[in-house]
Amino acid sequence: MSGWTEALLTYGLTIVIAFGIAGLIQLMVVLLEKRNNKEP
Amino acid sequence: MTWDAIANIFQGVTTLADAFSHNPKMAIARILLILLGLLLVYLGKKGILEALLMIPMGLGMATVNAAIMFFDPLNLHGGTGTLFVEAQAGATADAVKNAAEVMTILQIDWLQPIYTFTFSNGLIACLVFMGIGALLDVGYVMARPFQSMFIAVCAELGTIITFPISQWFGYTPQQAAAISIVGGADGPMVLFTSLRLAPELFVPIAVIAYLYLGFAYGGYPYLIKFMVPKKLLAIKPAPPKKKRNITSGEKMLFAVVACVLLSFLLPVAAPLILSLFFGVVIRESGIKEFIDLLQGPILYVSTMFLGLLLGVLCDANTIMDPKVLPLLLLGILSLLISGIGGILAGYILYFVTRGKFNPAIGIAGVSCVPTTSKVAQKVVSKVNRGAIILPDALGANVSGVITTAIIAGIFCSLLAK
Repeated sequence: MSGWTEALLTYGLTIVIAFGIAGLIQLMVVLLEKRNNKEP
Repeated sequence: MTWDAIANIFQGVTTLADAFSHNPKMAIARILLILLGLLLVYLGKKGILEALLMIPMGLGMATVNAAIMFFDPLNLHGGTGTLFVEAQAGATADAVKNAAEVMTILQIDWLQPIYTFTFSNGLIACLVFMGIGALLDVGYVMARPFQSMFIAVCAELGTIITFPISQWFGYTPQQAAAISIVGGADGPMVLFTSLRLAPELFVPIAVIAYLYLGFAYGGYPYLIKFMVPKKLLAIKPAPPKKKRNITSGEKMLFAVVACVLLSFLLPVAAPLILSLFFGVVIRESGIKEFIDLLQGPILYVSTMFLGLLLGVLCDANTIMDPKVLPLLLLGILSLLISGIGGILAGYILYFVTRGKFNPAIGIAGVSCVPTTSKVAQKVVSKVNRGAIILPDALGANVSGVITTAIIAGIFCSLLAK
């Protein structure tokens, strides 16, 4: 059955991009929280 | 007055009688599609299927199959046709002939302007996405980004597994990608991908995708009940460790950054990505007039015409194409595997959190915003009224839209002809 290579490549890239976005969100939330805590 | 003249008045009946004598399969398909259309209207009214789509779609399907007459200005269907829409107009290899066909049919079929100017370029998908974006609260994803993305990634299993299976059924890689994206359970994304990769299968794929999205509304509760025992369905999710309100400014910042970043990575899917995050940004901007416009008229007018057009595109000629029948199987397979993948992700999180996570939330990873979240909450509430899973489910739901957009973008970039 052909198509598994493209399927796995797509899935791999999706995982990387999706968790990259999750990491970006986490970083953004942490930075914003720190900034809010610094403000009097 | 002769019999011929009388038969010419009642052309719906005459074409049906004619089909019975020349092509009985087509005549039976026509009758079955009329009955299916009426059934969809009934099930939509009863709330068993998604009424917003199924009522216009069912009525369109029943009417278009009743209203077939001796009329075929482009000589595409052996002398019969309707005055509704012609999806095959302008689909030849000759650009000049295409323009002439489209111009001719635009002046005849009453729904053709909507099809030509909003369907075949993906505009209607983008308008629906703007409306969905304006309803989305990205705060749910921002509260638990890794958990939401994990569920969403697992709930894409149907899309990934159906892709090679569709090729095994004889479809080209482009067609297989367009079919398998049904497992992402995101209507606008299916429209967009099939238009980009397999325009020749756009109509049947779109029809089947929306038909199944309606069925997901009725079928997923059974999948949850089958895979998750009552004891686990009753689990109340643990409250977040640090509860902090995410401000609208922070949500807007996330939407802007995610929109630019995803468009940078996947330019092919940029129209859909921009539409979705445009809705989110408008929602968080607080501009009431724009929010009302997107959440109301734009979303509902687009959804209504989407349903009606999908219905009138369901004529017997399209549905009886031999290439269409396997789509019925592949579409449901894709949605089923995605649902199973989502619930399995729910189980993994259940074990990781040592029994504090309700596995039913996993189904919400299959995007279809906000239907799958509502379905999960409904099933859980029947077992334990105090278990509020909606915030977690909506996080997975919004992430599901993002992961489907990523896959659509990768497929379109990887497989574009």
